[in-house]
Amino acid sequence: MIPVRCFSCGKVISSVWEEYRERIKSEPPGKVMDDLGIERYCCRRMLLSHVEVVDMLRRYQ
Amino acid sequence: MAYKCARCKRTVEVDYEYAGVRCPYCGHRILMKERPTTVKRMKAI
Amino acid sequence: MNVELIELRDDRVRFLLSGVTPAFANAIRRSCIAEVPKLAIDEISIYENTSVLFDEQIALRLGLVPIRADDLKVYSTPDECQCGGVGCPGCRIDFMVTAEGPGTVYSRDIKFSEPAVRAAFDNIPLVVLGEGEKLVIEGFATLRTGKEHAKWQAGTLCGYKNLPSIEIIGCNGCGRCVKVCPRGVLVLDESDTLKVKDITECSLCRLCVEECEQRAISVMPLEDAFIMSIESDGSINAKDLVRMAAEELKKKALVLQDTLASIS
Repeated sequence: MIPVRCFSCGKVISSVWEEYRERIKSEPPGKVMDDLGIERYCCRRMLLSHVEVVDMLRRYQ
Repeated sequence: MAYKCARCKRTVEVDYEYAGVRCPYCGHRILMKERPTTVKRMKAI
Repeated sequence: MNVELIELRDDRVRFLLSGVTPAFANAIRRSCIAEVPKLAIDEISIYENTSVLFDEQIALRLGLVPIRADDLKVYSTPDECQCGGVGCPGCRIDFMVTAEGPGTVYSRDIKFSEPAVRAAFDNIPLVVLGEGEKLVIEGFATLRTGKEHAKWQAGTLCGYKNLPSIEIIGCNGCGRCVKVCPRGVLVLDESDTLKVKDITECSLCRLCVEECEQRAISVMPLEDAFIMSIESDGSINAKDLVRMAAEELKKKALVLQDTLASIS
């Protein structure tokens, strides 16, 4: 699961996660983040480097 | 304390003196602890 | 003291505060971070959780969700509440989350007992539930300050910098400083005269000073003017946040005043 907030500055970044995930399929991630108001590099790395693993974990429930 | 066998999914009572951690029905050595039915209270931190 | 608004958004305010000491500017900043009370989920009871996340992980995620109230003045912090911190409707807002998979549980699924209270963002994913997985959580939110935990911190990114002042004397209009400035503060107009476009953008890096062979540019910070940049986490409008921060400072000053007056 995407962390609710940015680790460094505390800005809520998870609220844009689902839109970001959809849009990066057709647009460059940097542009999408500019559009969504994710300005600082601390917040940008949160989205950029996130890997969603909950669906993989579920198999081992 | 109730455990659940990871292979045969049956509820298991562990007898440490006799067989150690082992399912008495199928002999599997992986047991899972069941979630207690009590309400868990915690701080949202 | 003089205040001039530069930028105003719901979640961020930038303003020029001039004629004050650095101590005062810093007091406002620190007050925004640690003294303004806000609502956050405090304690939860987990009745059922068969999701892939641990109870503790869900607890943390719930705690970090910013919560918005129509009027914060209605509530009081548990320490100051008339119930003495035991827990009453004045200092606790109950909530409930019930969900069954498959599907995602969002912050909008947190149902508060009071209609005036809700999550500041609708679409924060809390947990993804698979087929047959269930989540039943009950708990309450309290009003506290950022001193206790970062989840009660209303101002996330609060800072200030000195207002720069750029002086240009004897410029020959070569334009090298315009190219070297990383923030595009300097521009050449039609008649090749060097102009300052947006002084608030200047970061005082002095690259233009080094680049200029004529030594025509000098960049200095003004000691008594500050560009304050206050960002809120979404639970309180940035504008109100600054106002409340000032109020909290005032409260402290009043206590000092009253104490000193009673000594005489």
